[in-house]
Amino acid sequence: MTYAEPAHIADELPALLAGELTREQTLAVAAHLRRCPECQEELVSMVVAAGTLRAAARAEQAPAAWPGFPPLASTPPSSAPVLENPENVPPETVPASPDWLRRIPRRGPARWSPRQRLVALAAAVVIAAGAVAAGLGLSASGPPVLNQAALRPLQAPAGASGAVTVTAASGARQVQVTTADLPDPGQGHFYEVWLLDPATLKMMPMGALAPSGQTTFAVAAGLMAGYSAVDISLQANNGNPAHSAVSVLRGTLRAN
Amino acid sequence: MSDPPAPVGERLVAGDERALEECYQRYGPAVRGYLRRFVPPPDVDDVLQDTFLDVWRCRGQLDPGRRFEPWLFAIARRRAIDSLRRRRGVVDVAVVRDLMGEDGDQLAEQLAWAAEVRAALAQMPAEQREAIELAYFGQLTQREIAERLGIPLGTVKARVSRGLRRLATLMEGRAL
Repeated sequence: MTYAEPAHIADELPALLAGELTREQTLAVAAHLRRCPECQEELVSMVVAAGTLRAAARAEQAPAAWPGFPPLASTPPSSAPVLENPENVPPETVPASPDWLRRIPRRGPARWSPRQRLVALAAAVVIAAGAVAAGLGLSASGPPVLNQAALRPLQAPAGASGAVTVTAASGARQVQVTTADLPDPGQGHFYEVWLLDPATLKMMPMGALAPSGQTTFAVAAGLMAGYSAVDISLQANNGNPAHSAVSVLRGTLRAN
Repeated sequence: MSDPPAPVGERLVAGDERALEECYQRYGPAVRGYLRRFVPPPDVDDVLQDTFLDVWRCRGQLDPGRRFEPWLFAIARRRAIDSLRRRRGVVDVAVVRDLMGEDGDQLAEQLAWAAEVRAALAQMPAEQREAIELAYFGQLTQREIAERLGIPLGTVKARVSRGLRRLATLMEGRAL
């Protein structure tokens, strides 16, 4: 290590601060730092940034005062979900743009991007179709539609979408789940559909699902009554039947 | 890539019609995470809504030269206190003490800072952000990050190093 290689030393500083260097590496970096003002300046930046990040992580992980609720979770990067980490809990999410937010009076109408217009149009079509189907008690070419909802991205890219339609079928319920533009789950992973009761967090697995396409599940009518939302999770194919805590899409069914 | 955090507050003061939604999308999850530490679960979304309604109503009181996040979390804390005061039935004394006392004020400030950090990370290149999030929020070593992402250790070192340098610049350049 020489003064002519400051970038190499800078790259070692985060590992130095985290205690991830060997004894020999630590001593070599220390020797360089003592004679290199440029890297000393780098060290100041690294200390400030690392300290800031540690403070942020500690604040987010502070325990909740209200019992039964986990601390605010860290956000796993969407391209590499931290599935195996048992302490990883779903990140806090809010609806992308709830109705009440749009109703706040402002100066003139809000301007939406083309993507937002497209999403709003798609949602309007789903809702309108649901209203028509519910009003008529049937779908255009099939059994009566009892319920339906749009599936909105949670930990999926904004462009991903889905829809769920519940129809009656001789005492049972056919739950048809359609997804579009979910990313490839990657090797060793798959998407799974769950029925969810948001109030109690009770969940029932229904089966695996493709990133884009349509799958139908049959559920007894009595069982279906205990759930009011549909959740799509990203699961590791490791034999663990529990929900991975990585929810990619979710939709709330209309109360019947 | 999103705008820097500070202009959100400035545009809010200026009455920019899109700033509130941007503010909600950027900070809504963090504020909700703060609220659900203190507010009973059925009330959380109502208090979240009240908080952002207050942000819009009180935007004239925001000093664009000051940091936006502490102002936002102060509103959230005030709304959470109002919610507990209005609530009928038993409210845990420890929850009220934690929220209203000095510790509650400090937690709001720390979470406001954490929200700033998250907003700064959102401005960084995705590869640097990913490496930093795994290292500092996922608590993985650089070697574990390299294995998880399937990239050389040297690449991880470079991404974390550049990301930290950029984060320090972003954080030190912000208003007091």
